[in-house]
Formats: sequence, C-alpha cells, structure tokens
Amino acid sequence: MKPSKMTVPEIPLTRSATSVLATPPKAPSFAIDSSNKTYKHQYANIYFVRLRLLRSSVEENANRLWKEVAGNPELVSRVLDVQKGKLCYVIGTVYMDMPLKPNVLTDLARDHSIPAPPPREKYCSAEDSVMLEDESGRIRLVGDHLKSARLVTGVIMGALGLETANGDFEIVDYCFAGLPPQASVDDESMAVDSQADSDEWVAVVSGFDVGALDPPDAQLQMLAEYLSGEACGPEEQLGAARVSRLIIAGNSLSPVVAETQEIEKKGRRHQETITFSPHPLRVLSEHLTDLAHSIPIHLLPGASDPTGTILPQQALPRAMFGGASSYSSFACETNPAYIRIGPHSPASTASDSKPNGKASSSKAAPSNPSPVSRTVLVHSGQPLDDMFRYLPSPPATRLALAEATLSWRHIAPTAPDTLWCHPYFTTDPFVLAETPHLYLVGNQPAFRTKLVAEAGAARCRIVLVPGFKQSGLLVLVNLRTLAVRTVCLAVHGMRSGGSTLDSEQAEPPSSATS
Amino acid sequence: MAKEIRDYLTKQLFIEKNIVTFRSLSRQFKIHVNQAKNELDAYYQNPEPSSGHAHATYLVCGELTSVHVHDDAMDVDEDVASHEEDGEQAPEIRMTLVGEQDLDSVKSSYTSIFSQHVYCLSPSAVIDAGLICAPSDKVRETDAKLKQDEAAELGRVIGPHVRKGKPVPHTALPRAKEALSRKPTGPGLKTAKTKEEPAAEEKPKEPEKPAKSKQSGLLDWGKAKPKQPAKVEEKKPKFEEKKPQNEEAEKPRKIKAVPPAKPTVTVKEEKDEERLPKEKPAPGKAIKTAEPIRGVKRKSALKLDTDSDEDADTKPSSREKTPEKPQAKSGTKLKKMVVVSDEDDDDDDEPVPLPKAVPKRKLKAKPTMIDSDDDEIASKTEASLRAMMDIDDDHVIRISRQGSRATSVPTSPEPEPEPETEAKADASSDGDVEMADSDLDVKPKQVRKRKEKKVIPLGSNGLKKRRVVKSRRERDAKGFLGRSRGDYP
Repeated sequence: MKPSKMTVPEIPLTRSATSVLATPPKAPSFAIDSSNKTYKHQYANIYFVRLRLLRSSVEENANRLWKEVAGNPELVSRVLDVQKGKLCYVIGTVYMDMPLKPNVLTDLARDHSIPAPPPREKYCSAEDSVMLEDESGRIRLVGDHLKSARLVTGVIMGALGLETANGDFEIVDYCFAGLPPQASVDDESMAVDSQADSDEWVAVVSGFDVGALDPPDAQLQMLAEYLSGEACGPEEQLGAARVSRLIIAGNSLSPVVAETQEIEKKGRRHQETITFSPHPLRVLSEHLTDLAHSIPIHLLPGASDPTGTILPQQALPRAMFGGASSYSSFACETNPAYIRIGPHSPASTASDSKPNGKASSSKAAPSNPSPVSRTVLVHSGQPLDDMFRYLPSPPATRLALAEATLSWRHIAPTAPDTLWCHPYFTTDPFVLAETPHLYLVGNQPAFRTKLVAEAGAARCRIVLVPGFKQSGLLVLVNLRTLAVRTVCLAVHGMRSGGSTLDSEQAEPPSSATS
Repeated sequence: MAKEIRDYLTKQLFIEKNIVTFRSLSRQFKIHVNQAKNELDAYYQNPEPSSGHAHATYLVCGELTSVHVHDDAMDVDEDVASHEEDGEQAPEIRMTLVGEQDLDSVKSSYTSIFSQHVYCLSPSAVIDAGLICAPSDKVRETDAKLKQDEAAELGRVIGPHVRKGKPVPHTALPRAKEALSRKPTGPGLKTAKTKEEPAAEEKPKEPEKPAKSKQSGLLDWGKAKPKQPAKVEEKKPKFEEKKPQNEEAEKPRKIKAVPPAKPTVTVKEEKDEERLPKEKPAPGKAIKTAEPIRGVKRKSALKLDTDSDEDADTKPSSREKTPEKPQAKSGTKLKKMVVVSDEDDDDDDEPVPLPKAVPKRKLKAKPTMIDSDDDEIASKTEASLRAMMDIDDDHVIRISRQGSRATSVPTSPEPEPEPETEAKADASSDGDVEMADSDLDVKPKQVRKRKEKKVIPLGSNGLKKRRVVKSRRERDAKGFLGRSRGDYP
C-alpha cells in the first residue's frame, strides 16, 4: 500500500510555549544548600516538625468529624493522657513496628561471612503492630478499622477510640489532614473546549536506563524525533508541536552492573550489540542535546542516577550533559521537585503566576487565549516504592497510595524510617502545603492515572509514569484541562533493547502476552 | 536535486551498505523532513535497476485495538494487572517501527492508522533496532551547527522558549524583582552564574532584607571564630529559597576569583571582604570620628593625632585595595554595617587586646578597638578595616602605589620573623607603636605558643643525626617482655 505523500508545511511549525515561573511561596525548595547541609542532627527532628506542621489540620478535621458524635469524645492532647474506657481522640504520628523492616541492628548482628539476604519486597507480615506516637509517648493501636486504613510509618493521623484493659487503643475511626488548599486556577477557562487546539501539553517520561546492557536506543531516537516534530505525518507533528515541555522523571542512567552478571536474553548469547557504548553518559547527553534543540527539558535524578541516594536528591550538574547544557531551557531539578508552569512571556516583561495573565505575544505560535498556570509536583518514584513495601498489595494499589499521600499531606511519610532522607532540622519539605495540580510519579511498573476531585472540583491529576525502557510510554498531560494521553513507541520485528512488548515473533502486539 | 538524492541513496545503500533514515537525508540535502520521507518512498518505489531493491522500514502511527496491551509487559506486580480498572484510561497513540515484511500484520492490529511513512532504507532487513541510530551521529553533527531557524526549516519544531544561554534560577522570592527571577530563557541575560549577577541580586535584596543581612553581618564581625561559618549558615535558612543557594554557591566562587590573597577564606571571611568595599562610602567621616574613639578604647593612652595620621594614610590605601574586591558590594555594605551594633557591643566588652591576639594563621575581625557606642557606622568601618589589616602577611596583596607602605603597616602588628617586616619596620614604626601596647600583653603569650625551631645537626654523610639509644629487654607490669624505648627525637 502506497503511503500518501507527506506535505511540507509552508510556515514551519512552532512549539506552544510555556515558561517556568517562580515556585509558589508555599512550595518548599528541595535544594540542600550550605544553610541546611549539616548532618549533625538526629532524625527525630523531622518527626517533630512534621507533627507540628500537620497537627492543626488534623485537629481541625477531627473536630469537624467527631465533635458531635455520640459519646462526647474529646481531644486528648497527649497520647499518654488517654484514660481507660473513655471515648476520645488523639493525634499523633503513626509508627509501624514491623519485624521484616530493614533494621540496622539486625544488620550489624548478622553473620557477615555469608552474603546478606536480598532486600525484601514487602515488609508487611502478620506480626506487625501499629503505634501512635507524639511528643509524650506512644500507644499501640488495635482494631479492625486499621486494616482498611493502609497506614505507613510517619503519617499524621487522628484516631477516635478508647483504651482497652490491656493498654491498647481500640480504634473506631480515623482521619487525616485531608487535601491541602490549592492555588486557585482560573476555572472559567476549563469550560471552554473550543480552545483545545492551542492547549499546551507537558510530556513526562522516566526511566531511560541508558547504559544498560540493552538500552532502548531505538525508542529514544524515536522519542526525540517525535518530540521535535519530525516523525509521523503532519497531524502528529502538529500534536507534537503542542507539547511545550518535557519532564524526565529519573533513572536516565542505568545502575552500574557488575561485570560478572550473565546476560540472558533470548536469541542473544553474547552481548555484542551495535549500540553498546562504554560511555552511557555521552549517549544520554547526545539524546538530551537532540531533545534540547527543540523542547525545554526538566531532568530529575532517580534512584539509579549518579547523585546522592538520600532524598531529596540534588540536581545533577548541568556540565555533565555537554551540548544540552548550553541551552537555558534545559534545567536540572532536584528530586522531588515543584515546577510551576505558566503562560509564556517574552523576555522583557515579568509574567505573573496569576491565571488571568497575559496571552503570550509570540508571533508565530498560536496565541494562548486561556493562559493557565499549573503547579507540578514530580518525583522519581522512590517514596512511593518505599511506601508500597509496607502494604500488602492485592488490596492496596500504587495509585490509591499516591492518592492517599495527598490526603496525608505528605509525599514521603516513611522518610527517615525506611526511606533515606536528609536530616532536616527546622523544616520538613515533604509536607504538602498546597495541592499540586499535577502529581507525577516516575519509574512505576505501569501507567496509571487518576483525577482526584474534592467537593466536585477537580483538584489534582495523579499520573504514574512507567519506565521507558520497559514500556516505551510517553505521557502527555494537557495543562489546561488536565487530560492525559499516552504515546507508545514500539519496535516490531526487530531486536530492540527496550520494550518487551513486541517479541521477536511477528505477531500482532495486541495478542502478545510476554 | 532528485538525481542527486537518488545517487546519494544508491551510493549509501548499495556501495557503502549504510542505512539512510529520513532524518539523515534531510540533513544531508537540507530539505524538510517530510520531503525527505517522500524522497525515500519515491526511491523505494522506483529503485535503480542496477542496484536491486532496498529494504524499507516503516513508522506506523495510529491507535490500537486494545488499550491494555502494555499491561502484559509487567512482571513486577502480577496482581496489579488484574486491577486494570484502577484509575482512568487514557487514549493512546502508538508508533511502531516495523520492517516491510511485517508491515501488514502490524497494520492489521491497529484500529485506525493516522500516518505511515518510510522511516529508513537499508540494503537488507534491519535485524537490530539499534542500527537506526547509526546515521544519527551525522544528524547530530549537522544539528549542532544549525541555527534555530534553519533547523525549523528542516522540520524541527522550536518554540520561543527554547533558547541557548545560561539558565536563570527560578527563585521563590515573591518580593524579588520579577525581572530577575522569571527568566528561563534569554541568552543575553546575565545569569546567576556570572559574578555580576549575585552582586546585582544582592543589591535589590539588601534594602528589602536589611534585617536578615544584619544578622549575617553581625555574626561575621562579632565572633570571628571558626564556628562562625556555622552560625552564618544557620542564619541562612531564613532565605530558604534557591536564590540564596545560588548565591552561596557563588560566594565561594567569588572568593576564588578574588586574587589569592586569602586562601584561608571562610564564609565569614568572604563576608568580610564583601563588607570592606563598603567602607568606601563612609570614608571621611568614619576615619575622623573613629580615631579618637579608637584611642579611647585602647589601653595605651596613645597619641591620637599620630594615630589619626597613620590611619588616614592607611584608610585610603585600604580603600584602594578594596577595588579588587567585587565592586558591586560598595553600595550595599553600609547598610550591613549599620546593623551590626549588638554584636559589636558585646565584643567591645571583651578585653581589648583580642584583635591583635590573632595568631598568625587565624583571622580575627574583632573590632574591639572601637567604641561602638558613639558612632556605630564609624566603628563598623573601623572594624572592617581592622579585619582587613589582620590579614596574614602572606595573603596581603602588595600594591605598588603610594599607600602601599602604609597598607602594609597595619598588617604587621605582630613580630613576624619575615623579611618584609623589617622592610616595613621603619615605615610601620608608628603602626607598631600604635599597636604596641595592646600587643604587649599578647606577645608573650604568642611567643610562648610557638614552638622553638629545633636545629637538627647534620652528620658527616650529610644526613640528619638521629639519636640512638640502647634498648633493653624488660618485663613490664604484666610480666611481658618488651623493649624499653629510649628517647627518640
């Protein structure tokens, strides 16, 4: 079948432009600079700060829910002051006492002559106990309601119940801080659909895994070609032109693998691939430069990237990326990061973060009649992965967990406990002071998305972005309507490093069940 | 043009056995990518009779029949696959790179095909997808040389927000000048990475946050102890934004940029040097009023007149020295200086000789000479001058100017056994006299602190002599035999 001829556009397409605004004043910075770069403090400070920050919101919620309940429960300010048999509610930090959790003491005590057991996938077991802790002390929580609560260590919770004879606190009900307030968006623009053509989209991808034994080079090239508007036909090129930013959420480089590992891939006995490169960073910079020529990039470090492992991971140095670093639109971000995206403003004037701001005055680009600024919170997945280990997975899903973090108002509650974290002393930057419009989590096993609404109004779009190496997925989010589309870059019939989607048999992808 | 393209393709495919992608063809002939795709297709349809058939690889773009295909690839959470309905579905476009042999089967799996074009031509079927990356090197090379509008002609979609240049940090300072903070683009803009910017940023910041800079200023001046930097750091959290982080990063850089007069720089020190240019705005009156105050504070009831003359000499020279330091600090330093009252008051209560008690290596910016009660600005100026004067001789920049002799005067308060001191001795005699009394108490202590330099005799073979002592085998308290060691030098 003869493909139709491609038309060459008269005027070259230009990309929809957005600009990055200053982060909102409430959004904390995750950069660790010389002011808080001390490691002398105990980690307990983080818990105190967190409790202090969130206690008032939980209290508000608890009062609202339980003040009028029969039995006249009252708020007990200290956990240890709970009296037996009296219905009351307390607020504190959850601590999950799990024997399977990695414990430094058992690690020290084990026999070092034998290799360590591999890290467990799940920490939950039948012997877990849940405690509620505050500055005064802790009490154990019991009750059937707890199982549905899906708790992890570090969540600030209010619990309604009464103390049993043996000192445990039997829970009747629980509550959290709830969704934080959100910076208002000019909602009238969302109702107008006719402007859909000029919407700006944001592309999110994660997990390139460059430098792995079989990197997804072909898919990466296709990605660069798609985003720069060269691949596919004119309609797709137009669609690609509306993508205004690219966010790479971590794991761009693969973890360094020991040489002794055997590579087992079907059809390949030896690792002689044309694309084998001893310099993964150089390959990555070439891809990034290719992308940077046409689209602004925000690059976050991930678990396997060459930066510190403790959260928040600091930005990778720009100089690492060669050609891409000459572009001011290439930004290295911390992990996690708040990015505030707003309408594009030409260099002379300052752009407000107000939604009724100016239409962009770019000449060739489609003008922006419904300028909207969005707060994007993106991280590379380590907090969610760590939290997911606490919960038994069939009832709990990652998407539900991500949603729960919003209502807990904390993106990484397990932070000092099992998730390595910087010893903050005066702040806890993982606390959500306001709901982001877009909450992106990278390096997840599968693509999931949900629009979290509260009181009828759409508040936040959660997107779990799968690893690009496995899935070849590029996620596009509409900044105005928060709609989501995905683009899957696949290779069929060829030996490709990346996705396991298309096996080497020539069968239609829909029936592949690899 | 068409002939050239055909010849090029023939040569590449059949003589050199290379893959030609639409992108490399477009870069080679400077044609739009869509046109390149057409060319490839045309060549494929009408091959050269002599060369044989090229193999085409297509890029098919469309929507699939089943949306859940990618769930099958998961091997981590099996259970999650059963929870497909968790969350919402999103429309998916799929782009598949497929060889001509499989084209039909792939196309049949799509519900609707948006587009399909030839991605590349190759002499034979492409087995490894990575081979399509081979022409990319040339593509990238060419791209690196293209200007933005040229690239746009070739089909690359570029927006006004993609710019070369250095990035400007996006600060969360709501009160900072927006023009400074909101610029993600703009090659002509100065960025935080340059030296000028932090100065410029500091200036607008200074009037806005005198309180904060006060604090940091205070600490620098007052304590002048090694833990000073930590204190300064602690005050810094107030800033809690990226901007200060950049500034902090820049400050050390600025320090390095300053001629290596101060290798022992600390953050505090960097503050000092920043402050120093501030003296410039408050020259005359500061000097004049500072003199009598300073004399009062000193234990020796020393000639204020001579002192003032000396200092009048030294001040201009010290000020001249300061131009080497970042210029932009001048306008703002005064404000910092005004604020440092409290700490200085505290320091003034300490025994006077402290500033000169600076051991050679340590830098103390103690303005204890100054009675700051009367004239704070003057005292701060004085303090900064003192701090500057307390710099180790090694770090002093020798300026060949009139005041250079005078410059070196205050920097040699201590009896340093260096030739320079002698040279300055006469010139600095007054300076020494000034400091003499205050130093008197200090000097003996200092001298005592220093270790005497031992002179190790040389033996006849040219090596240093080492004391040899006979060792005896002895039993110690626990009954173990051991050598008792003699006296090792």
